[in-house]
Amino acid sequence: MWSSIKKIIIPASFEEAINKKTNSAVFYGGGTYLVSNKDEKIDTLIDINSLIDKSIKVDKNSLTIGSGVAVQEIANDEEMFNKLSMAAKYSNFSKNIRNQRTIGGEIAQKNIRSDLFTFLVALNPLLEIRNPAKIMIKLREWNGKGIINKILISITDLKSSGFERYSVLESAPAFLIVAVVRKALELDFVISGKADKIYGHTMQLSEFSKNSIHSIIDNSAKHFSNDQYGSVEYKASLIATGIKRAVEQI
Amino acid sequence: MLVSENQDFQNISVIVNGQNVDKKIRTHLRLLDFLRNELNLTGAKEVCAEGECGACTVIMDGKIVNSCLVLAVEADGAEITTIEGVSKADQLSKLQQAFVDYHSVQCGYCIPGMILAGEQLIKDSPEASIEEIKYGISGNICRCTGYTKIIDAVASITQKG
Repeated sequence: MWSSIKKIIIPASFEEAINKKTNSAVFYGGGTYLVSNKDEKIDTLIDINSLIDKSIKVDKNSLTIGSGVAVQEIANDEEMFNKLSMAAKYSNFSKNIRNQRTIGGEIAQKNIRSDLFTFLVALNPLLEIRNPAKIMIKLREWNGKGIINKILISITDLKSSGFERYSVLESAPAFLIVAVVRKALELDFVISGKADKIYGHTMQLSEFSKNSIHSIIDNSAKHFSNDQYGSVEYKASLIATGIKRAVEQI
Repeated sequence: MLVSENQDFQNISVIVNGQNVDKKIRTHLRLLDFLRNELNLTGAKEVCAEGECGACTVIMDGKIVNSCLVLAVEADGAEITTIEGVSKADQLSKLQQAFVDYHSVQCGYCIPGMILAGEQLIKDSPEASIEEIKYGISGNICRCTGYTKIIDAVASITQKG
């Protein structure tokens, strides 16, 4: 049981949901992170499942995913979701959890050990936030306030991306994740895993070379530590390999 | 709409193993607590309590979920199948019989979850390959068998031809 929970509110509108938000109340979607953590400071859940979008739409330029779409739906369809599908599958290897967990929750939780969150940070999609008015903002610029309703991913970015992960077993959480997206004139690198922060770096395409990635390797490796997965030096070498392989996928 | 403003209780209505159940329950109960403590369906087990092991697996509206991560009130209106609902009268399901035939059970603690994950997999992918079986039961951990005999049991249903 989650003994501190006293109230569950099902708001009729985004406005009501936002108005009910207090320090001891949280928005509740799939609930896997929240029920697992059982934070005793929380006494109220604001169930937003009836409000948030749960559809998937594709046009020639973008993929629009409702924030209430289950991670398993994304993992299931490699043809539509491309590498996002793989990131969804690896973000949690339990189908049971993927059936419950939503893509919106994955973004809101900002779990840097999640392959899906890391890949989404690299893709930097446009988010439709309701606070309660509709706001369109890039994922990396979102301050966490309001409710994510839709995620708009550029299909060009998705097709121009690479993704590598390192874990002890295929089914284990990755201790190092590298994602790369090629934009018109830039390369976006995102490196995360069992680190103290998610690391991002943008480089002009014209500057990319074997030598130019040394600063990315050095600066991102600083956020890892010596642990059961290996030394910082070992992880720096994996970052170098990960970048090489991820760029080759593009 | 306020479902349970200023109160710890809420009415829920669910179908569990084909039976309608209407109960007034405490808001903070998880589906696992509700099944085990309110309905005395103790097949779903609590082990890790954080979604890692799958011992608490149940089928909710045609999808396997960890009942330790679902609040009971969130299951309001849902159709739930637990291990108690898999066999009909005294007749084991084909998969349950396969688990017996292939000696797939050792301590048994993970087996209710394994069977439910397997039953749903067979329903979704009646001809599932070995790889699909491994993927289908990936949320269920067994510390005894090494999985081989469990996979053999599921494959005996899906790989008949």
